Amino acid sequence: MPTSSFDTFFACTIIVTVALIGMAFLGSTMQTRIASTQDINKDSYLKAIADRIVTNPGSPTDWGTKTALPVDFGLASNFSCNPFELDMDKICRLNKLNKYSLSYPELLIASKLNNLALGIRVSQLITVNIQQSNNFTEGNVTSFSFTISTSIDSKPTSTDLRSYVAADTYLTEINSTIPDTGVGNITIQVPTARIYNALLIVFARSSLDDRLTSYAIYNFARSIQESTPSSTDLALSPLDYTLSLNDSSPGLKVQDKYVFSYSNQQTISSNMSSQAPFPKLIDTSPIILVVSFLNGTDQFQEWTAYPQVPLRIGANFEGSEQNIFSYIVSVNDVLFRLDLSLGDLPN
Amino acid sequence: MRLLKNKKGQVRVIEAFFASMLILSCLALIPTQSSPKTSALNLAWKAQNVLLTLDSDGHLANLVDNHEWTKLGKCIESSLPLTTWFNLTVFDKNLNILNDFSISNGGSISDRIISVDYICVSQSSTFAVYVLQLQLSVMD
Repeated sequence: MPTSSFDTFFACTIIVTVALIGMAFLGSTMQTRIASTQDINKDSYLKAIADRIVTNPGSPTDWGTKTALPVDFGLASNFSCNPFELDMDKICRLNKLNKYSLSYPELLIASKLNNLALGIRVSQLITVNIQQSNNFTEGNVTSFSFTISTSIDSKPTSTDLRSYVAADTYLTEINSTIPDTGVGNITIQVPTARIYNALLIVFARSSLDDRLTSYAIYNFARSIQESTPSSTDLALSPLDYTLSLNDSSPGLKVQDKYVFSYSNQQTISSNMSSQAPFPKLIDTSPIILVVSFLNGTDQFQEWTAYPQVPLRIGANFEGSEQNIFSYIVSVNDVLFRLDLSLGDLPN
Repeated sequence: MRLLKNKKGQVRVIEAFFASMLILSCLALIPTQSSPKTSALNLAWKAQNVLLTLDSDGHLANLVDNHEWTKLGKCIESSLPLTTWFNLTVFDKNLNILNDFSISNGGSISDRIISVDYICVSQSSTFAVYVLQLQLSVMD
């Protein structure tokens, strides 16, 4: 065999090898690019779904104030010009503590997402932590000291605090300020006989913007801060500025009802016990409703927030893909964070 | 001995070498990812959401009216996740910069910066028009 044949064979081998490496490189590059384009398309598609839920009022447009199921799901306020203004009642109907709440299957049917997991979480922007630091009793009065910290997304923030103590007919109010360090102290006095049934309601308002207002509740009887009501005997369900409550259980007797916001506190005067309209307070603040009632001979207090935030509804996405779209939304002129999660697209 | 003396095929090896270099050079010139990343799109949406919501009651325009740059920066900061860098520049209608110091939360943490322009109108009697340019970036 001539030498040139060996050389030709050797040269061809080099070219074929380089061509194969080149094709493999080109293939992997193109594959990455195609996958990236698919990701962008998927993200845009899911974002469009999320945007539609946030910016569309749904059908009927006032489904939040009705007890019927929506035909089309959307959370936007019916009358707002702001694209991120959500309806307070629609938010309440996502909370499982509300007796008119939507179930997850109903939510999926109304949103027409048959093959896509959906999760919605609404939370307050300012996180308020209440920690009891000290207490002592003198005569008929017990003094409690609390350390209160306020932060936004883990960053300490200065706030103006408005705290109320509600213990049956005993109501008191304390004003204080949290400095830039995000930590402050308050001391309050409560009649010792009322401690077992007292609630501390704290509203924190940022000095940057009145719409940055959050609340926190401390239950004296359980000595803990409650993010959701521990007692649900009355099944308090606010909707359309009317508080529905279940007072039909034997032994339950509703007594007083109160409404609190950052700047206001009022007694709800209503002869109707199971449906109590409450005033539309002119205040950029979440509303807290407290009802005191007798269960047998024992006295209790139950609370709820309006809108009923924080809340979480939908799939938990454990072990599956979760695409989170986070929004800053306005509900009744108060700013909240809404995280809308969507699952992976079906193949 | 005959193989060593015969040098006819060496030209083909050199040709093959050059051809290989040509192919590799072409591959090296394939453009890298040029389409926008998902995170960049999300950041642009995030910026629009924050500016629209904060200004829904004219709050941002009021802060600009009063030249409250520190408060304006803190407002933006409180609406963004902790891991997001921002830089806000405020222009008047003639695109002159109004803020006399930087409104940001530090140095940029990534080369990939998105920029969103937002036009807001003062609710005061002057109806001044401002352009807010919000730049955002997150860790890659």
